[in-house]
This record gives sequence, C-alpha cells and structure tokens, in this order.
Amino acid sequence: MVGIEPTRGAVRAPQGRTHVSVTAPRLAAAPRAPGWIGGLASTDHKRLGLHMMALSFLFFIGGGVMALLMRVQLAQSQMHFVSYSSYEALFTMHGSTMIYLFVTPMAIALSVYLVPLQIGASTISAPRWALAGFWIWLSGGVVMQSGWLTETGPGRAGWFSYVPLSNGAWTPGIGQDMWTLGVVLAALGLTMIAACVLLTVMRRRAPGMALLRMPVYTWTGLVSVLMVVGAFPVLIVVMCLLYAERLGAHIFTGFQGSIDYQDLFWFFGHPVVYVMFFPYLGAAAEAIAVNAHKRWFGYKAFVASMMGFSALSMAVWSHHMFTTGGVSNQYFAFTSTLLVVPAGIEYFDVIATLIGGAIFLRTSMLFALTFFVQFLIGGLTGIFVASPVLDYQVHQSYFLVGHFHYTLFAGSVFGFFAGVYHWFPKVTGARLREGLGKLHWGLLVVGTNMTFGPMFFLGEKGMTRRIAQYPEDPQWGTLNLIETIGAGIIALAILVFLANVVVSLRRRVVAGDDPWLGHSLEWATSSPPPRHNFDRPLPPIRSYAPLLDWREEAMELHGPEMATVPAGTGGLGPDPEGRDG
Amino acid sequence: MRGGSIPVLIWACLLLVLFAANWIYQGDIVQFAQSAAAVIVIVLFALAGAAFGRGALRRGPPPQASTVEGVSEVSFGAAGVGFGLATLVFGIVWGHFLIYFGAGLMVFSLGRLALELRSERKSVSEHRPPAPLEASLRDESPEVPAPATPGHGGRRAQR
Repeated sequence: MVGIEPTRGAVRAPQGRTHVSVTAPRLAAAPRAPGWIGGLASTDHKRLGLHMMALSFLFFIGGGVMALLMRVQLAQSQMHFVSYSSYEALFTMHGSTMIYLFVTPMAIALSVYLVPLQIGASTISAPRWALAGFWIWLSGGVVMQSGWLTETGPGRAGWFSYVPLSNGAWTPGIGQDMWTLGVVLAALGLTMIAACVLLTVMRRRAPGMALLRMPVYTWTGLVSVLMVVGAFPVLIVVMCLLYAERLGAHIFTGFQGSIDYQDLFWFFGHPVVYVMFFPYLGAAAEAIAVNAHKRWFGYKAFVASMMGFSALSMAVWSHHMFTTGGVSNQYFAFTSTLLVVPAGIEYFDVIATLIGGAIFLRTSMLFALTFFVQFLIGGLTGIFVASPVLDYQVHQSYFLVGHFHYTLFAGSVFGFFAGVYHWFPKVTGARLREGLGKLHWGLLVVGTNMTFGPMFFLGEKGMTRRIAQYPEDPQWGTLNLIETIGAGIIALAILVFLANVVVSLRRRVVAGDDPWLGHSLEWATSSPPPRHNFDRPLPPIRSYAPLLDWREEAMELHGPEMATVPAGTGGLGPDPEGRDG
Repeated sequence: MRGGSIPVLIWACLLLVLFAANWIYQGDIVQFAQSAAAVIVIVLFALAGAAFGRGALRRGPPPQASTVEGVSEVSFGAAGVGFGLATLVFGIVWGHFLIYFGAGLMVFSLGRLALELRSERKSVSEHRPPAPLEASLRDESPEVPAPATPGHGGRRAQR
C-alpha cells in the first residue's frame, strides 16, 4: 500500500513565496531511505550541482591519465609504450571525456549550484527534470567508458567521429556503438539540466532582481545554457543518425554525406567550446571584481557583449571545415573574426576593473588573472585560424592542438580553479589553504605552458596531430620531451589541489558567511547555504552588486567600521581572525 | 516572472539575423534546417515563459510574489526515469535484457513520479490561503501558515 506522506510544513521564504517541503511518497511500512541513497535522489540544486562537480572531476582525472599515457608515448621518437590501436582509443576517449564528461558538465554544474543563489531563488526550476538529466548524463558517461571493457576497445574515431571513418565498415565493434550512444545520453542529460537553469533565470529571480541587476556570473551562465538548448539537440540527432549509419543505413554517403555530418556535428561542436568557456569567464570575473574590491567595470557593455558573443559563436561552426571545400569560407571567416569585438570588450572590462582597485592577490585572483592571460594566447591564435588562408597552412597540425588546449585547458581550467578557490568557502564553510593553493597555481602555470606552448612550434615544424609515432628529429624530440615533462607537472599540480581539499576539509579554517566581502547574493546567506538557500531577509537589490551597495550605504550612514558588518546579515564581513588575504 | 523571456527573445533575434546572412551566403539546406531548429527551440522557450504570465515580456524587476509552491526534497521517481532510460539505451548495444529492465524501471518510476506530483499538489493545496470570500465566511485571515521555528539546518529542520 502506498501512503502519501503528509507535508512537513510551510515556510515563508524571504523572496515572498511560501515553500511547502514535499518528500516523495513511500511505502507506508518502509523505513526512511538512508541519507546517501536519499542524497542520490535529492532534488536540492546544491547537492545536484555538487554531485555533478565531483563526478566531472573524477572523469577529469580519468581523462588526464589518458593524456599522460599519450604524452609518454610521444616523449621520444619511435616509442612503443602503447599500440597504434590503443593510441587511437586514448586520443578519442581523452577528448570525449574532457568535453562531454568534464569541462561542459562542470560548467553547467557550476550554474546549477550558483545561479539560483545569485538571483535569490530558493530552488531550481523543474528540479525533478534536472535530477533525471543528471542520471542520464552520468549513465551516458558510464556507457561511453564501458567501451574499455569490450573486446574491441572503446570508440576510436576521434571525439567528433567523422564519417566514413566512424561507420560500421571502418570502425567496427561494440565500443564505437557504446561511444555513440553514450554521447547521445550525455548530451540529452546536459540539455535537460541546462533547460532547468534557463527556466530558473526566467522565472525565479528574487523581487527586485531585474535582468540588468543579475550578477556577471549569472549572465555567463544564462548565455551558456541558451547555447546548450539551441545546439545540443542537433548533436543528439546527429549521433542517432550515426548509430543508424553504423547499423547499415546509408545516411551520410559520399562527399556530400561527409560534409553534412560535419555540418551537423560542428553546429554543436563549436558552441560547446563557448559553453566550456563562458561560465569560467564569469567565475574569473567575479573573483577579479571581489578581490579588487571594485564593481565590475562596464556591466551593460559586458552583458551586451555576452549576448553578441554567444550568438556569434553559434554562427561560426564551419570554420572547422574551411579546408573541406564544402562550405562558404567568406561567411564563416567573417563571423569568426567578428568574435574579436566582444572578446575585446571583456578584456577591456577586466583591465578597467583592476585599475584603481585594492587588489588582493589571493589564489582565486591569481587563477582568474592567469585565466585571462592564458586564454589570450588561445584567442590570438584563434584569430590566425579564423583566416582560411592561414588555416589551410596549419590544418591538422600541432598548431591547432596547441590553440585549442590554450582555450580549453589554459582557459577553462584556470577559470574553473578561480571559481573553486572563490566559492569553496561558500560551499563547504571552510577555506582552502592559501599556501597550497599558490603552489597549485604555480605548478599549473609552469606545467600548462610547458605542455601546450611547444605545440605551436611543433605545428610550425610540420608535426601533424593524432600520430602515435614520429621519425627521428632532434627538434621534434626535444619539444615533445618538454611537453611530456610539462604534463607530469600538471598532474603534480592536480595532486597538490586534491591534497589542499583534503587538508582543508579535515582541519577546517572556518570561513564565515562572507570571507571575501562578496558582491552578489550568495554571500548573503550562510556557508554552506541552508536547504532553501536563504533563511534571512535578502538585502535590497538595486544593482548587480547588492552586497557592495549595502556596504557602501552602511559606510555613508555609519562610518567605515559599520561597512563590513551590515545589520542583520549575520556576520557579513572580513575574517575576524585577520586571515583574510 | 517579469522580463524572463526578454533576453531569450533578443538572443533568438540575434541568431535569426546571423542565420539569415548564412542562408544568403550559403543556401545549404542542412545548415538552414539546423539553424531553424535552434531558433525554434529558443523561441519556444521564450513563449513558454510568456505562457506562464505576460509579465515575462515586460521590463522591470520582479514584484513581490505571495504564492504557495511545493519544493520537492527527493525524487526517486525522477532518478528512476533517468536511470531507466539510460539502461534502455545501453541495452540496445549490450544486451536485450537491459532493454526490458530499463523499460520496466521507467514505467515503475513514472508511476512513482505521478504519486510524487499528486502528493505535492495535495500538500500545496493544504497550505494555500483560502480565497477572500471563503476566508470572510470562515472569519479567518487569508494568511499563509506561520513558519515553523527554524533550527539547525535551516528550513530542513522541519523534517
């Protein structure tokens, strides 16, 4: 017999809504589900976001191990560390893991956790939909990685799996099938979760939170989820068609079939690069504004540039196909070059925010600043390859590998760590160790540039991508060896980060609710936030930095000593023990 | 929610302009179809927002709301639907028994989800303030129930 559990109670939330906590119906005689099982079915956006982040990071470690294996293989010429077939599987699964299972889901997970808090919402919209999406995405990851357990190995046709290489004739075996269906599931799950974030921004902003008062991070999250719901369904369709193709349906046949597949794939494949960039840009921007103790400069221009940037990045996909001869190079070269304008606005905003600020070089700030510097290298080389003339020259060379690793690793991952160091106190209530954090940052900067910098020179010297062995060449050999050592340093940096997390959680330095004097609403609640996010009145929302407004108002009314602890905030202010900065 | 659909519509318009230019340059039917699909999905989101209330198309900050809404704590139904669907798809390549298992799990979970939603509706209706006429007949104030005392763990302490 199924009994409907009665309501637990009603709560008037600070946002004006009354929330009725509802638990799932359960068998009348059944015991209450244990905590961790309940946690796996939790519809709390914070738990959901944390689960996604933790699992994404596990996938990141897996993808990183694959990268290390490839780098060992390439450390010297004529190495036989892995077979050709294994090398194909490694580069396919490394790319797939990083894109479908780490960088993109981590970006969306950050939005799942932060966006409701930043806009003063008590929950995410359609939380059950998001939970189902989480399970579908996770299962997709498991299906994709299960290919390692098959006789034929996992997918081997690259993270894009062009046809005809990926069809049943050229890449036979169940592993490639599992890769294809794994991508379908992962993309479906991420689309469902992104739709929930989009609906949250559309429908759950707190009273007073007008669109042009949403924090910078929320805007970056919003444009990212718009791109996901616009572009990811195309990936789901094209992967279903690829599966049918592998079963023998002749969908992508001949030259035009290959071009059509690439068109469909890159319609997802380029926007996802920006889905993997914008939220980390937002995280870095928040860290910079807070650590410079200044309002983010040029907010409206930034918002306009984000809208333009994201729309433009939906219209550049075929620059990946310049050399195919099947697309209009003029249009895509034009739109790709136009991306410089919104990107330039962001860099201008960063510099103007820093000028005149009281800058604290905390670890989050170091990561945020490095994010912009490192991404600049990826962005500037992106301008090169946005030109068809130059793209013909460097196509399929290591120059491209260097370019996209500077955008995706040196860009996104530095922004991700800026966000981790910035919001870790909010999520856990404890601070990460600054000393270990700076060691992590230093190792990562050195490792990143040693690994990906030489790729430009290798590309210029003619080394092509996706080769498991290369001939004797003193220049290639030296540069590849440097890259392999750099990859090891990156692995060391990640170990230092993990040690920092463990140490900081086991021997906690209590962070307080607002250790950095934050600007947006997530800092107006406890650390970690309660179930419905806010159990105290929200500050008045008059701009995109409501807490900064509040402090400035308090300073005007009561003098500087009152500015750090506004009444009723429950301790908003700097660390009383003076560990701040 | 006030203004919720505006950025979505603006974004759809930007896409429309860019894709129209692409159509002029390229005239490729596949590119046209995928671009049109993306714009339609985005516009549908904007319209869905507007369907919940016309305020979604008006500018300005959201006003104070005084609605009652259910907030689910856990949902085994939703998790089961997701896992069931994934198992079903996995079964296509791994073994047909997984298709049956996944389909069964999905059906069971959908049933459970229906119960959860019914439970939520019931809980919400119990806490909805009576209509003014009904309240005056009962001589009650149309106030929402008083909040329970928050304890350790915030609102969740009520559980």
